[in-house]
Amino acid sequence: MGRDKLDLLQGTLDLMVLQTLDTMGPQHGYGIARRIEQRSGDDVLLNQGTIYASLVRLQQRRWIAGEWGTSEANRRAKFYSITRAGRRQLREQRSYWRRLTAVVGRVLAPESSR
Amino acid sequence: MSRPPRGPLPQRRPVGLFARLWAFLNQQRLDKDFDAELKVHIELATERHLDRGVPLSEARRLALVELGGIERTKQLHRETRSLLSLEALLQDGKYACRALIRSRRVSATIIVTLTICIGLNAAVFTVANAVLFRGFRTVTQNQRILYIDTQRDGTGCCVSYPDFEDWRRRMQSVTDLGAVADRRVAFSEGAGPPESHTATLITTNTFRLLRQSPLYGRDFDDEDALVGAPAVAIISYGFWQRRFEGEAAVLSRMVRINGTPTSIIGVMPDGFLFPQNQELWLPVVPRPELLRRDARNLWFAFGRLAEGATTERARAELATIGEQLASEYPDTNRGSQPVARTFSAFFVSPTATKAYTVVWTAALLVLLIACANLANLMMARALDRVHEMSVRAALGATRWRMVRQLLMESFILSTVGAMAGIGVATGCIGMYERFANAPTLAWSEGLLNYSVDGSVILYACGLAVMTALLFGVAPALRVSSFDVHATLKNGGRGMSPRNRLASALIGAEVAVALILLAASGAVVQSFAHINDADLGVTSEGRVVFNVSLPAERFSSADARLAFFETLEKGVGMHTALQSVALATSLPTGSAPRRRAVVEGVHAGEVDGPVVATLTVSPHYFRTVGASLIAGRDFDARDDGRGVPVAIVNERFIDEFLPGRDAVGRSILFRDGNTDSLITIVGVASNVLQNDPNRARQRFEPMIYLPLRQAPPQSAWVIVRTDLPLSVAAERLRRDVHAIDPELPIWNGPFELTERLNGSGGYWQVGINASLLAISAAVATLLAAIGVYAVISHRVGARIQEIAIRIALGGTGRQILLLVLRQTGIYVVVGLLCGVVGSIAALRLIGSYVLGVHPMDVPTLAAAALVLGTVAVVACVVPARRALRVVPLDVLRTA
Repeated sequence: MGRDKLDLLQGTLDLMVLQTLDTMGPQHGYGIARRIEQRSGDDVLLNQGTIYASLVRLQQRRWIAGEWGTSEANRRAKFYSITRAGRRQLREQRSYWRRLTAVVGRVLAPESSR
Repeated sequence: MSRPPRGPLPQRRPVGLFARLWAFLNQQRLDKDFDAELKVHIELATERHLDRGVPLSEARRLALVELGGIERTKQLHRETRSLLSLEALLQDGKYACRALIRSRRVSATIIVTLTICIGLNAAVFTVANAVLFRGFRTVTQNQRILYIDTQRDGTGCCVSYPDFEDWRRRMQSVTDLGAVADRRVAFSEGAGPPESHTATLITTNTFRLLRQSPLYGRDFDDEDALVGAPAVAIISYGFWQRRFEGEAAVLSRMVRINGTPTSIIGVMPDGFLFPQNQELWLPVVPRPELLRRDARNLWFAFGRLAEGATTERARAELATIGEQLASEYPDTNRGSQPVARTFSAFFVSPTATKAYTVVWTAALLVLLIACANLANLMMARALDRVHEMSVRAALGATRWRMVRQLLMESFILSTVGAMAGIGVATGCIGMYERFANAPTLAWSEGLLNYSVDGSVILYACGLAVMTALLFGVAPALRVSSFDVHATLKNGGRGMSPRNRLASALIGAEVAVALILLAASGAVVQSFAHINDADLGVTSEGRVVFNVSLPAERFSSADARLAFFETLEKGVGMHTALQSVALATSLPTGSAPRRRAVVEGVHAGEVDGPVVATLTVSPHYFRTVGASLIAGRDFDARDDGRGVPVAIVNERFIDEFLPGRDAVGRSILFRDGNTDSLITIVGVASNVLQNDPNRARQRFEPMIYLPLRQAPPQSAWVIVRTDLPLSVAAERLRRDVHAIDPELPIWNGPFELTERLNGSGGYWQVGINASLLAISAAVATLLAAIGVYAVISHRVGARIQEIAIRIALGGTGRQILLLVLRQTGIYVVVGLLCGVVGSIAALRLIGSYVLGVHPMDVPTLAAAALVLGTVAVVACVVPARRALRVVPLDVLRTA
């Protein structure tokens, strides 16, 4: 069953990264990781390293763009921002996700109530 | 940290291969970038923990734990962004080798097949590349060099020195023009006997134009070409090694070339040959006899295109200059045009180009058939591994990873095959070169570079990659796309929808094999036909050699005649020699065509028809095994003081004087200085001339002129004898030496048969035929193996079904039908397609090989029959196994 969970995590990780960049604006890798951890109650991510694999995937699909820049604390870091194609993808995936969870929820509901 | 194949969300856009490739190529830069990024990440994380009051070392440890390890993260990053990481590649390689060794019989089969096919291809490529593209061995940028000669109506050759000088002065699109004249020279040193060597007269700028300078000594300079300058020569590296044993003092040596004391001033680098297999280069000296515009004494002119100039521009410019010269010198230049061509167009005949293209295509087709077979084999092997693949998929291997794994196996196989193939090709080329450089060959092959070099290796590697993809991709995609759960539940059995693809491949193989079989059948027949061609002569028991009299010592006709008469008499004295004759050319060799009018036939015409002419001594016809049909042979009367006479051939009578008397009639040559009437005194049987390749095999009208009335500079001596060649050759050499110790035998002695078989395109047709025959044999064998493998795999895969059917009372016929139907249909379709393809192939081949017709029904039928029989046997043998199935045994073990 652990494998299924990883499945879910990987696909959804990309989605969560997109969502984070959409709401927070340009962020560096650590910032994204922290944000997702905070939002999900600090127990979803097993390791922050996978964030970077996700960032590469999204970049290669041109859904996000990365660029070296300077933070408010005057620190140089690589900042990622969502692209237009990324926003479109986020919209589609968000609605897909809602439908999927709704369907799965409906199907699973009677079993859990029994 | 295994990565599942797909996330649960739809990802419309697959990650671009291009992006991954780009990342792969920029590995180092991206690694550095990511190192920096990770450093920042860890600093930020550490700071956060410090802010919460954790001590520094603990904060750092926590940051690393949260990250999941630096190396691990880097590795994941690299794998995600790039095609493959080195580690993964090595792992794939190791795994692939293990898998290949595990099924070593299949692997060996694949490697042997590829070795043969890639070897064949590499060998054919080496030859075709040398002939068609590479050009001269050591000339840099062959494509920028144009070769120019003079042509009339698209044929003809050679260049006159004044024309060359005018082109050189007027052309802007070349940096400079050089010119070449080919000749053999008598070479002697001290009191030693004269030797015949190949030499080339070149303009003094030649080596500079070719961007080559001597290894030792100096290049020619402009003074060397002045009339009256001391004679100088540059020798080739090979000649230096052979003749002078690489002695350094050669540069101060004085030798005699055609009797003229000459100093050797330079040695060219090893391997440099231009334009043919030369031993010596001499400067072209514009002596008065060379300065005549009507004497085309130069073989060709050549020039290097100037910076920015194109071949088209040079051609246009040359055409304009040609027209200018034609109007300035109408007597000599009207109607002829300078023509500029590239290496292959100038030196390689269109026939050879087509021939090599066909052989090359044939070799590629064989490789394609092999790929089809190997694809089937790999597919079968891959299907045996479906279970293994399913397990790997279940354990988290991505589809890409599995495809990569299977492709890796294909690549390893094809790389091994290519390496062994290059070895095979090297061996073949060695044999070919020994054959191509045989001394009896009329053309010198030495100018071409047949080495198995970088371009051949590159080609073989290209083929290896191509074959690996061709036979690897389909099985890899197929296997990796199986439904994991279904396969696992099934125990990996029950997947055989691939049979249609396999059968279709077999059909294609049969079609291609049929085409190759028909093509090679036709070419081999044509070769046999050429072999039996009626040349009008008996070549057995004739020994021939060539003697050329240097113009410097034999400028008068009397001197030449005296030499030839003494030679004829001297050779004729030997009792073992039955007859001896001289001629300016051997049978099938070139006989210059002249315009002649025949009394009472062409009286009103200005020019008259074109007729080939040959100058011969008395007894020529008897000596070559032709005969006189009417009138008399030439004899002692027909010398410079006698009436000009001629003998014509039967073809001449058929063409111009059908049913009329020829003897006594007169001929007038209309192409120059001689206005004298020539009386026909005899009619001889036909002998083939002007057709060294036997490509036309058509006798043409001939006029034979007596040697005594026009003693040539060079002649072939033909001797009819029962003596073995070596004995005869020794005597003939002694004879020539006795008459003139300064004169070598120029060419030969050879047996006439060998010499005739060795000439140009004829020999090429032979090579062509044998290469095609080899290709066809390999193709047929591969097709048979392919059919056999598919049928027997089918029997193996359905053995339980067959057993059940037999148990339920299925008849032999039903079982055979079950096994054979699908493949059988494809084989038949393949045969039909093959027939259609063969007709097209024969049409193409017929355009350059004599006697090949597209609708050659017997050849097509024979090829189809052979292939059909082979296919039936290959089907029936494994199918019989199905009939022998004992149901109980099978069902029990299942």
